[in-house]
Amino acid sequence: MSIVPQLVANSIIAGAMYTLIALGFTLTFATAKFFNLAHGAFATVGGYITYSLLVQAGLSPWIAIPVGIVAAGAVAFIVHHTVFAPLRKRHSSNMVLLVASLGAYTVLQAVIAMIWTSEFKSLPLKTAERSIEFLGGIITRTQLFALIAALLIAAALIIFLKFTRAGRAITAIGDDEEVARVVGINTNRMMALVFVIGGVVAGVSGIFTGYDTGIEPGVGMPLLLKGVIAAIIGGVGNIYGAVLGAFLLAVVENFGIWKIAAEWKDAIAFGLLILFLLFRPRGILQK
Amino acid sequence: MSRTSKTLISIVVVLLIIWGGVSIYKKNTKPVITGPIKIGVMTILSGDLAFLGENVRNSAQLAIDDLNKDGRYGQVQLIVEDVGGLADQAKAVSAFHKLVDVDHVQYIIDGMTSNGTMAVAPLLDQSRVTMVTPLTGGENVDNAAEYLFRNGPSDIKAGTLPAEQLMSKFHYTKVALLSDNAEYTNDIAKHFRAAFKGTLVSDQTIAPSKTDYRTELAKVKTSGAEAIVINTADGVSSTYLIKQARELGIKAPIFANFIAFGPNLLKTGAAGGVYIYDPEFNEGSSAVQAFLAEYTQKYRADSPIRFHTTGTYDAVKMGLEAITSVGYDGTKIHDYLLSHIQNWAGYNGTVSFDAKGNTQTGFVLKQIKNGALVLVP
Repeated sequence: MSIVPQLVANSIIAGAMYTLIALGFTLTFATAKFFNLAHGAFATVGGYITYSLLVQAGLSPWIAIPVGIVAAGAVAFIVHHTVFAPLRKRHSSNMVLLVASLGAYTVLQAVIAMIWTSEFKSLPLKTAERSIEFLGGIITRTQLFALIAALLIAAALIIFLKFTRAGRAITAIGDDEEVARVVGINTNRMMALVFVIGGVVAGVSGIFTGYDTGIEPGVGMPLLLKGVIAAIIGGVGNIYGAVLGAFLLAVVENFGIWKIAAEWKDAIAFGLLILFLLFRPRGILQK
Repeated sequence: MSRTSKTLISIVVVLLIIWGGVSIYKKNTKPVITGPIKIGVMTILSGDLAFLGENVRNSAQLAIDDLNKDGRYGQVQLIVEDVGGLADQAKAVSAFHKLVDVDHVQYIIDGMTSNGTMAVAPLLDQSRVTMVTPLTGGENVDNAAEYLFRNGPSDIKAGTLPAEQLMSKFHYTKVALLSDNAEYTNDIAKHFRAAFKGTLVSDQTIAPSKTDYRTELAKVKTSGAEAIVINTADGVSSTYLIKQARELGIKAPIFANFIAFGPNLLKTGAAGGVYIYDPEFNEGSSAVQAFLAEYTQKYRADSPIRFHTTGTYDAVKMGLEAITSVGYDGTKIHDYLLSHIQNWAGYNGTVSFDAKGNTQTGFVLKQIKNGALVLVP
């Protein structure tokens, strides 16, 4: 029995999950130009709100999931409005914004732990999980949905940024915020929209994580780090790059540990990041 | 230098020497305790393992209330110190000094993980304070200190028993081992590898902080393993392993340590049929069942780890018996435990301390059926 088909399937599954987190991160970074570490906490919020509505309130997934996604976007908006917007108004450096985002992440994580405790939680499925065999590899139904969602969200973001007025305004801000303001774009409102969209996409990531592997208050940071690596190697600020980087990272990680101990997985991921930073810092697809 | 200065300096030096001497004398002299019998507990009351520490604290207090119902031990005071998270050795040392130097405790119940126990072990012999651990039981703990006693299950048996039974009882000769890199699990894995006489077709160390073990499990699937042994230091990673193994269509039976069993695993729907090596305690005894029921009633929740509760009860009982027999002195308590805890009937079963202060309780094989652990005959 060959292991290769399963390694391919594992790479696709992991790539889909990394894509979801990398998309929101890339959008935020491309526009606001700083590493928003709180992005990982938005994913966690989405997962926990959905958990509460499904398990504690007993609501249908058709209600719980959309509310969870919207909640993640709402929290992202609040954090942007109370933390990042005032700092950006004062022309704070990217280092200050990074540190502030770390603070926001820590606060959100602590609040989540206080409300829901540190215990691991998983989102329940209405019916038993089904495994699907495809060309010798096995993925679950949840993982298939995550893959479809990742590709659809990536396509939707690309269409939004290219073909809508708001999307083009956001792209313009990412190119040069000062000029964008001068030509009449309401950069504050657009920036808020960027964080909401980023939060929403992160919420989707958190919900699929909750269904697939489960969540605990600290799940956001390791998830975000993989998204950051994917975004950097794919091409910082490039949505296509985020997708490409996510799947490349997943393939390198899974095939990288084929013949060696699995403990090397994270080392391989960060090793890949370092290689790109040294030899191709703008990533595969430059903006 | 003037004469006055020299005189002042000389006085200061003499005072420092006297102060040093008094400190050393105090350290070497056992305090004379009047007042309540003090039993110390060092345990984890914050972080992810807080449930474990709360269980030890609650069990110790309930044991005191139970044993001292008729006031035979006079006033007994439980002094609990939080040592923080999994590897907070500095906090463990600080907590020990507070118990011994400030509270003058001579008998301590250890509710820590082996990291904390190992940090404190040398101090036990230096201070000649007796500590009993119902929780940790690795080879390193067994040999760590003269004044450290173990009445919990032996981690050596956690490795050797599955190794022997997989071949003798189940006739599995090709086995996959998935183990994480904690001190506790490294110890168990070492003894498993030494005792297993078949072929380890897959032997992988996993990173406990991960959530995706599919590639590791893909290797197990293609290895031809007849059975899988999962050896983790926390229940979350074993839950992921078992769930993802079943999702990948791995049908080989899974044998896990007791840490794997819990509400997280049961929620996944993948728990049915998993074998668990559960620590041995006297669960057939009506007194034990009554004590566990009392725990549930008082604390409005079941004991999350029953053998910790019974082991803590035994540790409290041994301590009270020793103190009332020989007095509140760590050395005398140590000597009493070695000589008198022989074929001693406790809630963990009938136990005896060997020359190193360790009992020989082990594990029993159970299987998860309909959400409960059922003994495998």
